[in-house]
Amino acid sequence: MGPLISSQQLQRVSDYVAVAQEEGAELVSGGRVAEEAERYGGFFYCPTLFDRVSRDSRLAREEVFGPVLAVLPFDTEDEAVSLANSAEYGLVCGVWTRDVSRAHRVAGRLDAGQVYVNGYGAGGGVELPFGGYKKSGFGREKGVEALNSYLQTKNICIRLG
Amino acid sequence: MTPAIQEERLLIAGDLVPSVRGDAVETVDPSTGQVLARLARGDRRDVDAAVDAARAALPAWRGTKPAERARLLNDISRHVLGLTDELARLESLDIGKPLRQAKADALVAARYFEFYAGLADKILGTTIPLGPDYLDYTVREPIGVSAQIVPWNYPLQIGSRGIAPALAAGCTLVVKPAQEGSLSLLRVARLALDCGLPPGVLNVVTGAGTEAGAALASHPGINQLTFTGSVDVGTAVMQSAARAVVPVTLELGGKCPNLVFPDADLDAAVPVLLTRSSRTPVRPARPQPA
Repeated sequence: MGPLISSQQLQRVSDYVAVAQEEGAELVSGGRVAEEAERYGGFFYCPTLFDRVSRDSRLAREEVFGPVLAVLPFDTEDEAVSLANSAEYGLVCGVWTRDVSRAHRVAGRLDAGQVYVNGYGAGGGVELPFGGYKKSGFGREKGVEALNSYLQTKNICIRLG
Repeated sequence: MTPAIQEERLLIAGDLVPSVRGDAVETVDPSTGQVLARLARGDRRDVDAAVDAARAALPAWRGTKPAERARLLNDISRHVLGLTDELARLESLDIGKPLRQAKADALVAARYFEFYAGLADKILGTTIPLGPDYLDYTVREPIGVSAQIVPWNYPLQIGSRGIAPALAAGCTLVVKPAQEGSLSLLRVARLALDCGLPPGVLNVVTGAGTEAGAALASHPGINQLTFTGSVDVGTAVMQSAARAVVPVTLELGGKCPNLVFPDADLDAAVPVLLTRSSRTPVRPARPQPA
């Protein structure tokens, strides 16, 4: 795993980890600046895993941009969908299940521009339209759809005779 | 192993030029904290020049036969493929991305140019029947000068994903890469010129987001803006563009929740979840089978 982009980002991630602990999440691993930071002078942070994260916590709702993984438990499919849709973002979602009906059903309920089932990324995904629902943005990049941003339609009507 | 500090310039109208103000902003190697390169510090005046160049190059570029544009994009793709190792190394040094991931990004960049090369000559319109007295048809025309603001996390990939379709559509561009990650895109832009992309079709202005980026987003001479970044900056960019009634394509990030059901294949899921930072996996409360 590489370093973060800057010392400011390193501080931001440290702050998020501190907030997550204050909000009651259980730190399973990481949660500190990596020893590589001292050795090389770069912006390295340990891969960090939090369990028992609550849906209302900042860790669940905001984008951290660092190696911090948050785990939120659920009991039912409805709860899982509700948890996934509770964020203000909606860019990409992953669904992991062997049940094809559940895969279709859940994919149809998720507020996201892309849903991956039992995988991620499809090897680059250049062919697949990509873009946001909600605060993740609008417009589609990649795929044939991307051309729509760079074209405008002109209708030409010729009266004959 | 870090190379000597590079001095980079702006790419405007086919020439590598210093910024008007003449000074530079630094980009740092995040693995060491050392300065890697000095980028020309573009401001409003350089953005003006770049937009003017893109505007001037537009009639000839949109008038280029689609098959010719396709051929050029394919050439660029092949050359990016040939330069993968150098681009990956540059990207890795510039933004601290592991070399393996940077190499994957370079391959995807080549694929973008290849994919949109294949579409350049297939941008079709329709005819709409109104009876014998009318001939009605639609044409899809390039929107004009496209401005692209590219973030630091995937400069090569996100830059290429905006540049390739814009070129395929017949648009010209002004690209503002992030200060922290400009080197790979500068290299690709020079490569595109070497492939025969006409001067002024692809321009690159480097510098600070608050200077060159803001100037580009608010420029009245652009016809479209593609932005990838945070919600806060995206909102500001959208407001800037709104004043000139410029349409925007905004990619503002996400949380990427993963729903891991009890019957999930964990051997497949766990490696994916662990390599995707900033993800929010959601798991069932029941214990997993051993």
